[in-house]
Formats: sequence, C-alpha cells, structure tokens
Amino acid sequence: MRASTYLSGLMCGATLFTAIIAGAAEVKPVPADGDPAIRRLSPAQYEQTLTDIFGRDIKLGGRFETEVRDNGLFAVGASRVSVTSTGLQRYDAMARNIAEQVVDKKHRTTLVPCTPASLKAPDDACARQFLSKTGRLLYRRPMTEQELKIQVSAAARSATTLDSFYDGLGLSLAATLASPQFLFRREVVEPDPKHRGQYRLDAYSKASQISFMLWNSAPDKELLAAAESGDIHTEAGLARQVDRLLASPRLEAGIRAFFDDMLHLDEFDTVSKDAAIYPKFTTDVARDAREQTMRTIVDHVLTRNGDYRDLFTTRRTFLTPGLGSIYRVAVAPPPENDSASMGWQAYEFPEGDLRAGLLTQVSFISMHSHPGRSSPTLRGKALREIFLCQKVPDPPGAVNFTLVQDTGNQTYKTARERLKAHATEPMCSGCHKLIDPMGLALESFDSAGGFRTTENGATIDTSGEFEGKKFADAAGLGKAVQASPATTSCLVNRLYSFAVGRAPAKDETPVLKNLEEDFTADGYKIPSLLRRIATSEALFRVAPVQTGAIDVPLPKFAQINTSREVKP
Amino acid sequence: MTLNGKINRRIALRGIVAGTAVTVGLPFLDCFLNTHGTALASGAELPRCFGTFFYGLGFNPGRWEPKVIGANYEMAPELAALTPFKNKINIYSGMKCFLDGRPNVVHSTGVQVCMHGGLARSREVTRPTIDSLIADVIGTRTRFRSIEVSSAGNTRSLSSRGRGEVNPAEISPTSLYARIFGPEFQDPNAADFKPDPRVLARRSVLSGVTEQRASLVKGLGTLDRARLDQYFTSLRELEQQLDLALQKPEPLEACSTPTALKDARSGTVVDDVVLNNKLFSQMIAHTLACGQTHVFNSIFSSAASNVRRAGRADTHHVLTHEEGVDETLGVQPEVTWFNERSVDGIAALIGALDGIREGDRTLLDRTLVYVSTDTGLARIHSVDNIPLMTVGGANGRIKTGIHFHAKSDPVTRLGLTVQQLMGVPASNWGEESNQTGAAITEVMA
Amino acid sequence: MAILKGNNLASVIVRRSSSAAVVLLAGAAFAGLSAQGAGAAETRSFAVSWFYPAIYSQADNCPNGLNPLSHDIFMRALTSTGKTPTEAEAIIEGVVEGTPAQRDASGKQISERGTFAGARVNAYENPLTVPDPGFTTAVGRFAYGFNLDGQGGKSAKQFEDPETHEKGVDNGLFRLYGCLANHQAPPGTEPNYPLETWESIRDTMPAWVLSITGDNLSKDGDVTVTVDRAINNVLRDAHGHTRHDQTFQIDPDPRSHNTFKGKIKDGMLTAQMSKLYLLGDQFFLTEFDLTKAQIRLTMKQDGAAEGFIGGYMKWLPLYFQHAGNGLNAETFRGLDIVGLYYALQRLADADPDPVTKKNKRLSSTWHVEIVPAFLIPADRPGDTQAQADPIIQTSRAQ
Repeated sequence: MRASTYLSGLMCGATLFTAIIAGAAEVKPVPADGDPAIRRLSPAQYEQTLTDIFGRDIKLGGRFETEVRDNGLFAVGASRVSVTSTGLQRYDAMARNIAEQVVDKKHRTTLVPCTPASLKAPDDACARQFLSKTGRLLYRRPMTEQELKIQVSAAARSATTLDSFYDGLGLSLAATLASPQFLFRREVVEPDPKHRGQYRLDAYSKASQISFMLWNSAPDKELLAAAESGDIHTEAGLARQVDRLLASPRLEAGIRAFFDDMLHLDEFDTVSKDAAIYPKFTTDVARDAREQTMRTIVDHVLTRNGDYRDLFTTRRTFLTPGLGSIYRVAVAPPPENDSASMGWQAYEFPEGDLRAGLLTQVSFISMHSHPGRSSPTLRGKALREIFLCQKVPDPPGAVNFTLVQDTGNQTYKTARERLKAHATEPMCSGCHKLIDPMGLALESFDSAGGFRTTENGATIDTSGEFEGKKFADAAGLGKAVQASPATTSCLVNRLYSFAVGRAPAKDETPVLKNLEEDFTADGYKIPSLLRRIATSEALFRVAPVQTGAIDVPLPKFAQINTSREVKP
Repeated sequence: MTLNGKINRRIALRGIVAGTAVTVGLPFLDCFLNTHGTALASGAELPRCFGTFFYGLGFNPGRWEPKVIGANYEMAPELAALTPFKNKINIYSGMKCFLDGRPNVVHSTGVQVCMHGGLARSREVTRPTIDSLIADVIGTRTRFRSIEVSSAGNTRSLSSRGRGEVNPAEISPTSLYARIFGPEFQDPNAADFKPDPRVLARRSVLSGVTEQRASLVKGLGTLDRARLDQYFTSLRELEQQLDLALQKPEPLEACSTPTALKDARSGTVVDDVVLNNKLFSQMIAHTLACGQTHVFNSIFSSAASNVRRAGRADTHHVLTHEEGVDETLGVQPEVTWFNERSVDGIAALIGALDGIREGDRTLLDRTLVYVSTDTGLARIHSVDNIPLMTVGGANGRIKTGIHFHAKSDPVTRLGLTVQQLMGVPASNWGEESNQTGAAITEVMA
Repeated sequence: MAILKGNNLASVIVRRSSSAAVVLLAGAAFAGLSAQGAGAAETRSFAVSWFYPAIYSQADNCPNGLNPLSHDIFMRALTSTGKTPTEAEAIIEGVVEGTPAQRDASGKQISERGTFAGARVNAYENPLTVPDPGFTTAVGRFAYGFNLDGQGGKSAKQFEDPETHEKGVDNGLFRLYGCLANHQAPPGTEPNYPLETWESIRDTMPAWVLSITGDNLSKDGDVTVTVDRAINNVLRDAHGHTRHDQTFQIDPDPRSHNTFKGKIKDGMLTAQMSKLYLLGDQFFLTEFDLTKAQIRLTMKQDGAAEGFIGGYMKWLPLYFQHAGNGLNAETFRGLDIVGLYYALQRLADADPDPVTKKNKRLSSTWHVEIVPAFLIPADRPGDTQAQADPIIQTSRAQ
C-alpha cells in the first residue's frame, strides 16, 4: 500500500490534515529544482569543524544562536536564519576565545606552520601562510586573493597595535571565524557541461555537500584536493570520496547529527519533570536518556548495519546506572577510573518485554509528555510527525481541557477514559482518532518513562489499531510502525532534506520515489541510502536560475552565485 | 567628549593607536548632575530608557481595573502589590485586539498585536516589535542595543527586528552579569580613561569583514541577500559598540557595579521564577544606570504561562482551564494566586528601577516600561480588555498616576503612544483594524 | 556562627515533609509486585535511606529539664578547672567568634580540661580524667523498641512501644539522647542532630543494603533476610532523597554479611537475630555491632519500607562518634562529651566485661528507612551484562 493511499483515508477534517508526502505522479525522474541558498552552520557543525581543524585541545566555550526547524529539521531551517546582533556578539566572543588558544604558546608550534621573524612585529609572509592554509579549511574553498590580502593586512595592523605578531594573527583568525564566509555555507553553481543549459554545484560546494551530510563537518584536506583537481566531478572520483567518507569512523558524527535533528532530541535540553512525582528523572538521567537513543541508533544502523525499520522493535540498547533506576534494570556502577565505558553497558531486554524499539525508550516517552503527566496525544502526534512525516494540526482555540488534565479523576481513571470523554466534541474527535490510539499504546509508561500497569487503580488498556493492524501494547505498536511504508518513506524524505538543506520540491517526488525503491532493494540499510543520496545527481544539479534572480546574464564558464528568488 | 563623535575606519584608528593609551582627566562625581538629577552637568538631558515587561495570562476582569477613571484612582484588589508605586503607574483598560475575521491563535494573537501591532500572517515573525522600533531611536549609541531576559527559562524573547529573527533571551542572571559587568565593562565613573588597544585592534580587524560586504552579497537572491544584510547589520552594531568602548563615557552618578550574583534555578517553579525576576530586575536597573543600554525586554512568564508551584504538575495555564470558579470570589482562586505573583514581578521591577536615585529623582522617572500580556480573560482565551500598564515617567514626557479607559479601541493606541513618547517619528502604528493614528494624548505631558 | 544558648527546643524539632506524605499500607505489602506462581522464590532488595536513633519525645521525659547547651557546658567545664567566670567568658568568646588562632587556643583550654599525674590532658580522649559533670537522661512511659531481655514489663526501667504496645522495651539509647535539646522528636518529627549527621554522611558512606526472600512476598509467610554493606554509596534523586532502584555491589568482606530468618504478617516484616554486624564509616559509627537484634519493617505503597532495628550495641563506637570531634560536638550540638561517657557507663545494660564487670553494650533502637534497590556481587566486572528485575519483567509480560 502506498503511503499516500492510506493517508488520504485518515484526513481529520478536510482542510486540517495535510500529508507532506505527496502522491506519486506517473512522471519520469527529473533532476532536483532546489535553489541553492546559504545555510548557517549548526552548533554541532561549528564545533565539529573547529575540532577537526584545530584539535580537541581547543575549547570552544560560549553559546550559539537558537535554531529553527523547518520540514521537521534544523538542517532545513538553517536555510532561513541569519545572525542577530546578540548572536554575532556570541560568535565574536567564541571566535576570539578560540583564536587566542590557537596562537597561544602551547598550540602555536603545532597549529601555526611558520615562525615569525620577530615576535613583536608583523610578518606578512608567515601570516599569509597560516591564514591561507587555515582559511581554506574554514571557508571550505581557497580564499580569494582579496580575502587573503584583507586578513593578512588585518593581522599586520593588529600586530603593530598590540606589539605582538601572534596577538595580531589571532585577531585576524577570529575575524575569519566570525565572518559570513565561515558561518554560512554557500552553494556556488556553474554551468553543467554534461547537460546543456543546466547548472550544477561547483566542485567545492559539492565537497561541502557530501562532507556535511556524512560527517556533519567541513571537507577534509583530501576532499578539498578532490575538489581542486576536479576529480569529484567524475563519477568514479565522487564514488571514491563518498566511499571513503562512509568508511570513516567520522560517519558516526553524521548519523548522530541527522537522527538528533530528525528526532528533535535537542528539545531534551528543556525537558523537565515534576520532581515530586518523578524523582528519578534527574538531569544526568535526562542526559543519559538522550544518549541512550543515540547509542541504540548508531549501534543498530551503523555498527550492525541493521534494517532501519527494526529500530522500532529492537530490544537491544545501552544503559547507565542512572537509566537502570528508571528502567528497573540492575546496572553495575562503573569501576573507578573507568573512562572507556563511561558507565554505559550493553543490555538486551528479554523477549516479550514491552521495552522494544525507540518509541518505548525514556527519551521519546518523556520528551513527549507533560511535566507531571503522560500524554497519549503528544506522543501520538510526535510519532506521526517525527517518524511518519505527517502533519497534525494544533488544537483549535476554545477547547476545554479540564477533563484531560485531571489525572486524579476518580470517574475517568485512565488517560484513555478521559480522552474518550473529552473527544466527543466533533471539532476534536477527528484528530484525536488519528493520534490517540498510537499514544494510548504507550500509556504503559509514565511521563518520566517509568513502567506502570495501572492508573488510579484501574488497569491500563494499551490496545489499539494502526493502519488496519490491531495491536495489544507498546511492543505491538512498534511492530505496526516497523511494517508501515510511511516509516521508510518518511526516513527517505528527511534524510534527503537533511542533505540538500530544504524540503523536497514538488517535482522531486520521483527522485524520492526512486530513493525509496533503492532503500527497499538495499534492505533498508542507512549507509546504503546515504551512499545513494551522496552519489545521486539530484544532490548536485541545479535548476536554471529564475529570471530576476540576478541582474546580469549568466557567463558561460565563470562561476556564478544564485539563490532562491521570491517575487513580491 | 561627545557620544556621537565618530571614530571612523581603521585609518583613523591607526593614528590614535600607535601603541600608547590616552589618559583623560575627569570631573568629580558630585559635579555630574544638576541639582534635580534631570540632566548631566553638561546640560544634556539624562537619556530616556524604555523597557517591556511581559507576563502570561493577564488578570481577572473586574479585579484589576480601578473604579475611578483619570487621576487619583485606587489600586484594584488584584494589583494591590503595586499600591506603593501608584503615582508612577498608568493603567489602561478597555483595549482589545481585532481579529479581522482570522482565527484567534490562542496565546499568540494577543502578543502579536501588543508587541508587533498586528496579527502574524504565518508563524514567522515578520514585523519588528515595539522595543525594536524604539531602540532604533534611543538604543544606537549604547554598548548594547537592548538586553533580553526571561525569568521562566524560555530562551526566546519577544523582541524581534522582523524578518524572522528573534533575539535570544538570557535565562541566567549570572550570565547576564558576566555579559554586562564582565571584563569589557567600562565604568563611566572611572577616574582614568584608557582606550584598550585590544579593542582598537578588534575594531580594525572587523572593518576588514565589512569591506567584503559588496562582494559577498553580489549575485544573491533577495531572501539570501536579506539574511546577509541582517548579518552585516549585526556586525555594524558590534562595530558601534567597539567605537563606544574607545570613547570616554559620560559619567553617570548613579552607576554602580552590582555584586556578582548567585543564580536562582532556572525553570518554571514559581519561587525560582520570582527570584530570577528579582535578580534580573536589579541587574537591569544597574545596566540602565550605567548607560550600558537604554532598552530592555523582560519576560516574567511566557504566553500560556507554564509557571507552577514546586511539586505540582498543574501550571498556571493548566489551571486557567481546569480550576473551578469559586462562587464567593467569582474567580479561580489558584489562578488568581498566580496572577498576583505576576503583579509581584511587576512590583519587583518597579522597585529596582525606583531604587536607584539620581539627584532627587530616580531611574524610574526617566524610564518608561510597557507592561503587556497575552489574554484578557485567560479562561476563554479572550483578547478583549487586555490589561495594560505603563510604568515610569519617560523623563517627564508622560503624566502618571492615571487610569485611562478606552471603549474597545485597539491596544495599538498605547503602543503608538509609547513610541511617540520615546521619540519614534511615527504618526500611526498597526495593521488593518489594529491600525491607529490616535495616540493617547490624555497621558502625554 | 552561633552557639547554642538557652533552650532552643522549638528550633531543633524538624519534620521531613516527605515521610509525612507516604501512605502506609499495612496488609498490602508488595501488592501488585508479585505475579509469581507458588513455589518460585521471590527476592526484593533495598538500600538504607535513613538511619538514626529512634526518638519518641513526650512531655514527661525530662522532669528536671533538658541538658545544658554549649555555653553552660563550657562555663561549667572551665570554672571547674579554676577559671573565673570572666576568664571563662573570654575563652568561650574565643571559640565562637575568635580568629583561627584564638579558636585553637580557646579550644585547647576547653578540651584539655582533664588532669592526669598533675598535667592537663585531652578530656575527650581521657574522659575519666574529669569528674562526672552529670548528664540528664530520659524517663517516661514510651519508647520505640523491643523487649530485648525478655523480661516483660516487670522492671520500672523499661518502656512501652507506642506502636506495638509491647511492654518491657529496652532502649538505653533513648534514655541517653532523650533530654538533649537537639534530639527532641515528638511523634511525627525527626531528631535534628542525628538527622543532620546521616544527611551529611550518606553521600559518601558505603550503603547498607538488605534483601528479603520468600515464596510469595505479598502473602504472610516465612522469609530470609540478608543485611550487607555495599561498596557504593547511595545517590540522590531529583528531590534530594535517596534514589529508588539504584544498583549496589555487595562488599565481599564477610564481616558485614548477615543472614537470618524472619516472617511477614499483615504487611510487616519481623525478624530476630543473635548478632548483626556492619562496618560503618569513620565519620559515623565505625562499626554497628548488635546482639539480640530485632527488626520490624512496615512496607509502603511505593515499594519502600520503614521501621526499627533494635539490639544491644557496643557503646564505645558511639562514644567515639561524638568524641572524635569533641569540641565541635560541644560547640554546635550542646553535647557534653565527658558527661556522655559517664552516662553511657551508667546506662549500659548488657554484656559485662569479665574483668571489670562493667557492661560493654547498650540497649538501642534505630529508626530505619529503606528504598528498593538492585544488589549484585562486587566482583562482577563493570562490563557485565546488566540484569533486569525479574518481578517487573513478569509483570510486563502479563
């Protein structure tokens, strides 16, 4: 059954429910028409890039601008945001802090490739050597001669003012770290020699595209070299680089970044539970819960190269002593000075256990609950939106929630009974029918993720139905989600969006359809899908620039910049 | 030395630098102000300051409006905690948000109209907020254009310069302290002034980034160009801050550095929120008194306030929906208790501003605080009769101690009034039915 | 810094809000937790979350008033060594408000109030070098505890337990503490000083842990109880209380391993044992050594339990718990260390020394609270597979 078919049967109010996954039209695959745009580096990308360039020893400190989610992803929202005044102050402070460390006595010998003629005076040759080498990694392309000149002269002026070569060099480096060239990824296109009249990303943009997608970081030297030589434009050259990146341990950072984004795990930073009701949910347990989900995913999709769908049924996971107290599993405290395990232990829940799959983990359960009570509605909504890419509208304004929130109600003892009484209102019932059955299956878990069988003394009924499949409990729900075509098409949609930094355009539907078919053929393996996307033309081909986007006609071979044009 | 004497570009800086710092002599503290504290010794008026204070879920209709209209009103029961400051407060009743046939996006519509002047067309904030319009006039020559704080842990402020950018809010008083009074703080009353060569060097290096603007925006589409423009606007403000740090600040008698803070816990437990608000209020007062900014935005609780009592799951918001109305009182008692905590929050801010003496006046007398919320009657998400207040004297530009009552006028009337009082050259404000050209002349001095 | 002066009774009574909120469900012990068929043994494990002397303060405990507080203790001690009241005041002032050097000097004058062979000696280490200053001990009808010597209510020195109404209760520890200002604890409250001691010690002290095994713990029947020391300390939850369901590794040292028989009836666990021994902590009791021990625990709805442990304890570790930091105990807790020593000697009621004929043990009752925990052997390496709680598993699989 195609995703679109059953979705249309689930509309809750004709205009309220819109499925993001459009129906598959019978047209031939065409290249993506996504317009290039500038994307602000995410906090993780900023950190990863600087760590890659300067090493773990350099401490970043500081705080970042808030991110914005679009099409379910920060990676897409990054194409909409800029840098506020306060935000730039933060970037500037971080940049100076980092630069000071790079040029300090401890690090300069390894990070600065030359020694100045004098410690107290400018040395343009040395500054140029350092800035051009570092600038290439930071800007993800060679600096232009103009850029380099500006930075070298800034280093010289500051060195004179401060009577110190290294202080001057540090300030110039700080300026590049706070510059738009570093903070924004910018896609540059050039005419595509293989397709007359069309355009493609230039070699360096292409290198960034696959590097940020697979490593969540800027291209390394080897990838930049492949861009410089043009090797990346050949099919074999691209495949070589993609395979190299996929084989690297750094792929884990990319997998983590994608799933952290897709699962909204950042929201965990603001999850808090009522200490009086859920005393076990401490800050360290919350941190561990987020990491537990990440470790489960990395182990399953990467280490074991498992079937993505089985993430919804797997009983294998990793626990810390703190999590053990919530899951009620004995987890031995780590031996002293044990830095390797950091307290984490592999654990497999016994067969038949309700703890099966991501939906039953503390992270999902607790994040989509209220501070003092569970929420079948929030959980059902999150499941639809996050894992099935379906949009559930916000509740209408004038709703009386009194009953739903009354967890001590002695007439309606369980959430199911309260919701049933609440959702008799026609304006509510449409959507509740969609989201509640899935959420109610997770009622075996309280707001903090603890297991329970009763509420107010009444036995909790966790049975339900999803896509025509009946299930008895949370484990059954996991199996139903595992079997749903929406689950895999959603993953394809999100991963593709993550790579291109925007929601798929309407006429990219065939591209997604192809990828879905490939995903199926590959046994739903994430690394295979990453490879398919990273080597697909769709990732690099660009539609002709719309009229009015730029003032001058496109030159034949010179590089040009384009971006989305919106008519007034 | 004047505040607007520009130090321009790196060429000029190089001349000043040459390695050595400049020391400037200084008048003594008691010469700073004229005898009334209304002006600097130089004759220039003390700067006007503006702030917004937001709390969620309004007050109970009938329990916050004074019975008397005009001057000499009595504070209504729910606002009892404000009684000591009655003469410095104006209360505005009978103003509402017009929906123009569009849905009431609950807890958002009220904020949109009060802060932006109209309903949002999408979730994206497109129009600048009132504080931002005012900061364009009074906030450009200070170290910080504005500061944003949030006592209940929400890192999004309500302040926006439009185009989807929302200023992040500080949620930790200690972080705010470090940002304002950390190593880069220039005490306006310090005896010596030495321009920091490091600041000079930074200023010069940043101008190198600015130089590249033209080549960077070249070829970009309008949306991306707007985003880079925003970046360069932020950069220009950073440069202006550095310019200011290179100049001898005007001495400010009332400026003192507060003692370093111990944080309250951030979060939504009411005791923590109240304490955070108190600490933030004091920090804001010191920041204004020291001339570090002229504009602030403080959130006590967010729209649909999730403030709650310790150990309780029912938030203020949940209670507005679920609590029964007490037949004797005619209100939801627990909700009312939370409303009164919001009033305490307002009182804490007023107390902090009024506690800083400048001659025979106080900092509050040259400040204007615009107090707004998201709902009229929270129980039904009403956006009618939204409780609004102004606090402070705006340097004598506003008459205070007045209860102004409108007959279902848009809330934007007050927003327009406030802008005009702060010197924004606006003759009207707002959109569609929320647009108005009628400032409230009854309170303008 | 404040010295205890006058009668601070009102301020030393504290109520821990948490325990007041807990509903005791007698008769419903372990309800809902067991789904095991008959025959299969079931084990529940616990860690000790609170532990302090059981105090049941009543108006009639101290007809002659409470023991004096710090100021008066010092005044008495200093004037007895020949200081004038004015000199004594100056020394006291030095202890309380002085510079570090003054504190040391004044402290020395106070602590070295013993006389031996014509020289000043430390009275805390040598309490018998100071004449008995007197120490008021408690009397009355009620005290928590057990009839340890089996002599019913015949002796006037014995109490009645306010909960079980068992007569002949032996509780010398309550007599000892019952007239100290900061040990006052009317029903429903906890004694301040012992509470404070435990509160500060439990984060670092290796936890004491228990297990209860029986055929079906939700029914009446015989059980086996173990009491051990763990190598890990308890952790706190978001409330600051001891975290439930934490995992502990049992100390392999056989000295702290105790096994005995007990029974559950109407939700209450009772057990007797001839001897109970646990290593403690250097800042608390260095060892907890009981003979003729008895235990009584009532199960709570949240899986925790609370009750009492009683027995004849070696009193010397108790003395050194206080005397080890004697000056502080006297300054801040109003405990005359020398008086304490003489009182312990007087109150000791078991285990006479074969030579001196003096009793080495004191009857005692301790308030104990336990929370659910997992126990595993300490020799398991850190990477051993974690183990699920069998009971919760059964419950889930239903």
